Amino acid sequence: MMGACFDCLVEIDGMPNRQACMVQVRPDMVVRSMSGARDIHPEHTDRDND
Amino acid sequence: MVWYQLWRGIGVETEFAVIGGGIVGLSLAFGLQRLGKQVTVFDEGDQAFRASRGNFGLVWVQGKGAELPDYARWTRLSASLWPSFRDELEGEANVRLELNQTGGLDICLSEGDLEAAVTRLEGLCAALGGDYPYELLGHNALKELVPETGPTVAGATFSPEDGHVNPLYLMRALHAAFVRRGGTVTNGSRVKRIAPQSAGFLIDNGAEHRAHQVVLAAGLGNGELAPMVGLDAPVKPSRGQILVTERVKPFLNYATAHIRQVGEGAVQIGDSKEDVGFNDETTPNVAAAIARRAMRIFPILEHVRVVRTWGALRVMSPDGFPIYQQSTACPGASLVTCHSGVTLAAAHTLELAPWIGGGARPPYVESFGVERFQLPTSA
Repeated sequence: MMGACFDCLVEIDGMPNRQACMVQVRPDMVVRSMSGARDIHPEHTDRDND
Repeated sequence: MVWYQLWRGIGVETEFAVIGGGIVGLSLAFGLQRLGKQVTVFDEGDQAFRASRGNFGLVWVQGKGAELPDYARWTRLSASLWPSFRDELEGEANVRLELNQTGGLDICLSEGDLEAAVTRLEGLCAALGGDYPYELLGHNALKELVPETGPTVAGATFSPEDGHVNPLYLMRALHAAFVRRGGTVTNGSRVKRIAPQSAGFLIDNGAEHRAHQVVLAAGLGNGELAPMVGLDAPVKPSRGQILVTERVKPFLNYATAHIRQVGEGAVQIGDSKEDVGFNDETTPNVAAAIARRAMRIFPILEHVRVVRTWGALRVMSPDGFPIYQQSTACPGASLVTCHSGVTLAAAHTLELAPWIGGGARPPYVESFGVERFQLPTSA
């Protein structure tokens, strides 16, 4: 059932709402936890999740 | 315990048997319970082609009934009943339905589409004696209302009577309210046979049950069941595919005919109308066309990921309008079928169920008899 539930969403390298369970970790990857839903407007994405 | 008896294959006796445990069946079952009736719902289960689990969730008035004004009137009656229906159901079920009736937009990509939409609404307005609120929004007016509107969109028509609701929560709430009032839902076995008896009906879903009255609300399943009780349900499937995106912060305050943002933030994007029989699969080419249109309407969606797609089958009568019929050959049997079970849920519970329960026929319902499909016999 990997990838089914969307309960593990994180921001990976600036891209919000990625499923942590579906992306393999690699060196220098920047992973941040999400707080709330992402903003649909890309220019707001980074700051709004801080 | 009733469920235990059913599990053992022992039949029950019930005042009303509602065949079909989707939104239509549960709306009627709940409505009958409100009148003090004792009701059992016979649901095929999740293997059924369940329109209630796949639909878009609009409570929609705009443009409906241009060919049959009573359908516009019936739809508007239901939309106007929705707030009190919501209040009662949320109170009984303790489930929030996310009803939002702040108005809806039919967004048109081309000037031609916009003209056609306006012509349709003008015709409806005339047919309803001028009582039909709507507005025409050109590109700039639409962009003011929804800044994310794309540059190639011609405009939209707006109806203040449109809205949307979470259809899964609606179904869950109806189920909870029904059970809480003492109703029983059996699922996991399809009703194969209904046999009129000297008094009442025999319902066969593997076990044999008895009902004083029976209501067919089985969607596409009504086609097979209706002739068993002297009724006719000429319904066919029409497939719709839907895309659902990741959750994003609220940006869309209005329902639109093809795109709506649900309470949790996901953007739901429809839809297709495909004549493919009893097949509810999804196809990449249709999904791509749906996505392309959505990105023309709101280009910002290009950056948003689709996380789910599904197909579901609408329950379509030959003219697309509901069929409401009480059997004259087998008194006590009724048929209810429609493809707008969400919009019409309020009217089904508050107006149609009392008619099925033995009360007066509500307004407009006489226009939805099955006899309209029967060809006149030629001399």
